Amino acid sequence: MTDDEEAAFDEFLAARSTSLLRTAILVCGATRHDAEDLVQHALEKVYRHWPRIRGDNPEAYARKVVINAAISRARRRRIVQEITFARPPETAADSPDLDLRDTLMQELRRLPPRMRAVLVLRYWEDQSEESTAALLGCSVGTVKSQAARGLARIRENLNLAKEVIG
Amino acid sequence: MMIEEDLAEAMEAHVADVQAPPDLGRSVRRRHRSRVARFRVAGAALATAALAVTVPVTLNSSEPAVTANPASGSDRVVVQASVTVPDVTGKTAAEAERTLRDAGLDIDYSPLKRREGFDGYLVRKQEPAAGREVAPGTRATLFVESPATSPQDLGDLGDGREFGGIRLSYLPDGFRWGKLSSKDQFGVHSYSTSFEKPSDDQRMHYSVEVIVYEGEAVKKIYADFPRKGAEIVDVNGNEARLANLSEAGEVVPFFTDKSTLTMAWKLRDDLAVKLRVSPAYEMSIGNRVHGELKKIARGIRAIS
Repeated sequence: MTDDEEAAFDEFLAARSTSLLRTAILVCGATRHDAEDLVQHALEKVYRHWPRIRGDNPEAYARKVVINAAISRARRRRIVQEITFARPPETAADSPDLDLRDTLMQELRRLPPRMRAVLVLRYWEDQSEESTAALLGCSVGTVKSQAARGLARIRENLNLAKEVIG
Repeated sequence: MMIEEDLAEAMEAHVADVQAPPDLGRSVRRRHRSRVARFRVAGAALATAALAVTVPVTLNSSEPAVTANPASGSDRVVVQASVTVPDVTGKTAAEAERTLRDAGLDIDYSPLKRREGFDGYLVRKQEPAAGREVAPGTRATLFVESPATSPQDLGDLGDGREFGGIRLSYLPDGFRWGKLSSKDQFGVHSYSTSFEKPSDDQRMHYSVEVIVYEGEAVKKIYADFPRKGAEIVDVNGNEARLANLSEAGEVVPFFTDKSTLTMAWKLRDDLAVKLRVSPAYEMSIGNRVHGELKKIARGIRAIS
């Protein structure tokens, strides 16, 4: 790669890598450490093809690679639960919604990876159904049904939790 | 409030403090230079250490070793102090928890802790990895599996070659049983397990997964596996489909990202097998993967 291309790649990283990392954490439902590794791996792919893709929406390409890698990793990990020790102070703040947020995140992690990806893209990234479908390589119909089913499942489990606790 | 909004807020809060590490570009380039021999990022422990503000009350010196703690007695994170992360994989959640406490890693339970039977879950993976030097109070994460997906599902299969009514007579060199197995995960009755080829990439959790469908479950074998576009292969007189499948169950070109090389066939009307290849393994052996997959398939026989 030329110096110019290297510099453009660094610029791209500075602008987009945090956002990609956040998406990866949410989609793969894993820790930051796992997600960082995954994003690095995905960005290596971007770097490999950088001269070719830099002029052609590299962010969409990177996002696609990251999302699909996150789904694959989540699928293959076969990990059903995650406990975090020593929760960082930020999340231990005295917010009244803390329990709800924790529970929602747990329920999100329990969804099948692809369904989770749909929810992340639709409701956190605020992507349209069409862009979500394009990013995941599926139809708009699939996005709609996965989103509806994902939300329904979370809602159902929340109600169940309320019954048990309440 | 609508659940979508609650969820969006929860996600936002979950990642609000996440920032890409400043040395990401360097890491990506280094990874590029050594693509095959992947390495694990060393920066993660520092990143997590930065999040943990308080130091645990005790640094137990019995096990594991506290390697350097010039600022003992401090109640703040001191960068120089470090502890060696003990290996807790394979232990139960309860044992792991004790060991981590002893190591000086503070513990704050997530709501999952309250689940019944949780203490008996097994630790499959840990972060940071065993042997790492980390600051006391570093956030440690355990990945645990419920007994339902633990090795007990099909029990100890020995070399793993015989299960669910089939026997594998061929496996590529270096393959060993991955110890994980599941029952009825792909319909009643289905059995699955996997084989792995140990490598320096600790994240390669499986190389080839073998799923056996029995009885009614056989009907599901082609549920997400269209014939169109698949390569049709003869396996001991039976027609098998071989294709790269996307997440959506579509046939996509070989070596496409986000896809899984899959092969499926019926040994009998009431017995079918599906093989799935991990992308990491596929990448590690390249074009030879198809030949190996067919050899594994042709070596599979019904034994019941």
